[in-house]
Amino acid sequence: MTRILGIPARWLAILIAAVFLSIGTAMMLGPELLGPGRLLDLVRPTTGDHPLDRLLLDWRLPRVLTAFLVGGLLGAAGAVFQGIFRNPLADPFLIGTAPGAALGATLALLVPGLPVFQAISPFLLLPVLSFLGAFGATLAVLLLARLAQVRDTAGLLLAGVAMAAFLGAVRSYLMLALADETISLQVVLSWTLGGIQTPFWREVGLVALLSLLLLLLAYGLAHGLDVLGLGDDVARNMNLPVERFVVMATLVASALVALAVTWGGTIGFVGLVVPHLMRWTVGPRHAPLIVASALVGGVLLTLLDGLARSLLPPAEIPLGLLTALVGAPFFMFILARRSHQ
Amino acid sequence: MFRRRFLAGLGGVLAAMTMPRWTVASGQSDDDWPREVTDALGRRIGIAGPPTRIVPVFSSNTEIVAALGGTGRIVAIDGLTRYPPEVLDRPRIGNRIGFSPDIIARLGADLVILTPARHAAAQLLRPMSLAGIPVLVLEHPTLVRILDNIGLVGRAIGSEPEAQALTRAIEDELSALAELFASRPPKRVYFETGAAGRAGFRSVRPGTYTDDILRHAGGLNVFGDRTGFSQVSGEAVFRADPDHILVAGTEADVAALLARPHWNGIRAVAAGRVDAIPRGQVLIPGPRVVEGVRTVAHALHPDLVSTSSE
Repeated sequence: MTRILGIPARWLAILIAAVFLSIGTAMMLGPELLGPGRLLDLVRPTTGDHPLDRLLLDWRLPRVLTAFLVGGLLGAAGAVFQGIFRNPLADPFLIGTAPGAALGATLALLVPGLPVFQAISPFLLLPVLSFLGAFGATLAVLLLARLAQVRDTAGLLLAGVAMAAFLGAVRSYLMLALADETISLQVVLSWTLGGIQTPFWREVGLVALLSLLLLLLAYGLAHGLDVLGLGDDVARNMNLPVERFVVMATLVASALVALAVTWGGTIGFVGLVVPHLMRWTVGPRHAPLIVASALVGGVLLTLLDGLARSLLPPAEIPLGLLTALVGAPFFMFILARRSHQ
Repeated sequence: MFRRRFLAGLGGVLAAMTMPRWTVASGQSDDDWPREVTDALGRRIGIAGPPTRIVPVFSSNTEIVAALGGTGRIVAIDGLTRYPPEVLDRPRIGNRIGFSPDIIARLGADLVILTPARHAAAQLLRPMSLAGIPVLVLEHPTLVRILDNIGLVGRAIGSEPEAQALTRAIEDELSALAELFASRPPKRVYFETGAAGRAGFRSVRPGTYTDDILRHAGGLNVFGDRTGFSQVSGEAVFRADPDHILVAGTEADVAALLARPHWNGIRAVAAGRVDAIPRGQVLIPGPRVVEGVRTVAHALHPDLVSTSSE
């Protein structure tokens, strides 16, 4: 059987078709639903004058592509984290990224005027602080683990739990202390419930480039993750510097998550459920698993973001709320299946 | 013209405030106390005599008491209150984390006025009733109810003349504005109360007092026929094609809105019809809502309405 990037060619063809189909579908979803014919109109030379053309090209397409990239990053990050922790139920937000990003976002939303933030353009404060929060939290967890001389991944996980609790408490305190009756906590809530931040076209290009770079790095970890899966001792015997590899893989996966969080807020379950689903389809080896998880994560989030924009117009349902509504029952299904085995 | 009437009304309030308080308060008859008032929860509350140690919880309730000339009788406020400046030196009885019945009791309060939000009712009603301190609960779903609240507080603290003068002044200004707009179709407005960066845009919900403020100011909420979620998609704003965009916030919030990707494709943005409205005027259900109406009216109809500062 021919394999491309480790994936059976037939599966890869199906996945790529799904990518295009999901992007096309998401382009038709919105406060007003469109037919495929309207999309085809866009490629005609007269395009550009009608408000609906501008809606589709300026508002919808960049957002759809961003949703795809965010989903892809989360799917791949989930696959890497599940490999690092050798636990198929590990979540990419486990080691502090989500509460770190949320803390950064809370600061950006509630006290944008702090003198220390003046160096950053107000328009970029939220993405910069959420990225720094997510990635900084992971660095702190790794540092904490090192100081505590934690040598195994289970210990790393526990350090992550401690960091999440600490950062969560700091954020809750700030929310309680900083808001007054005219500063709404609702916007912080909105952010933490997830939602695609609308990008400029040039930003879509930048995010796409960064995503590709990080996904290549993640793909490069695949063999090491396969070896790690055999256990620390076997991995060492196969010349894998286990501790260094775990730190490196954690940093790469966290960078994936941080980039995703910057453009989508905290969106749960995609990074948890998608790699799991893909393991049933393309098997446990990490090379195909990471590629397939990225593609399917992207497809899933593209479709869910389309639904978020179109289910209750003109309202927009927070994206993290939809992923949890879809993901949580599926997660229970996985658990039930496991206990049957 | 309406401004003159409003100022005349305010003058009435000031005149009433300068008179000896208790003669005014019990002007109808000195034996009007103890009296009973019915609050938003339908409870009948007995008040023994004119309260002299009032604890208003939440900015709106503090602003009502202060506007009725009761600033001197406010003994404590809640931690998030920022207006009026004269009360900011008072002890704080709590904040978003919770409220302290102990502090209220220790201050010897003889009336607590609160709104059932942030667990205030859950945390304070029972302890206050055990301590024998009357609690007046106010709700503010609409602009009319805010006016009712002013009357109710006036009766509860024995400041009916001030309350009548204030509500009359507000009503006069509202009807004067209504006359101005009578011949003109309302402006269709997207009124944003917050945004999580470039997502999570929150619109004023129909059926709220802020929506009423907009309507009294000659505006119409573009999402006024929808209920439920207040979070709207950018696409929906673009398609709604509002005549005007208002942002509850500062000029910095307006600048952030103008810088959002593709928002310059919205006609109101391209034409520069985006204005900031101070949050305290439209998101605190107290007497300042009338300033909110005037500020919004000036933003929407600058040819008809001047601001108080002009």
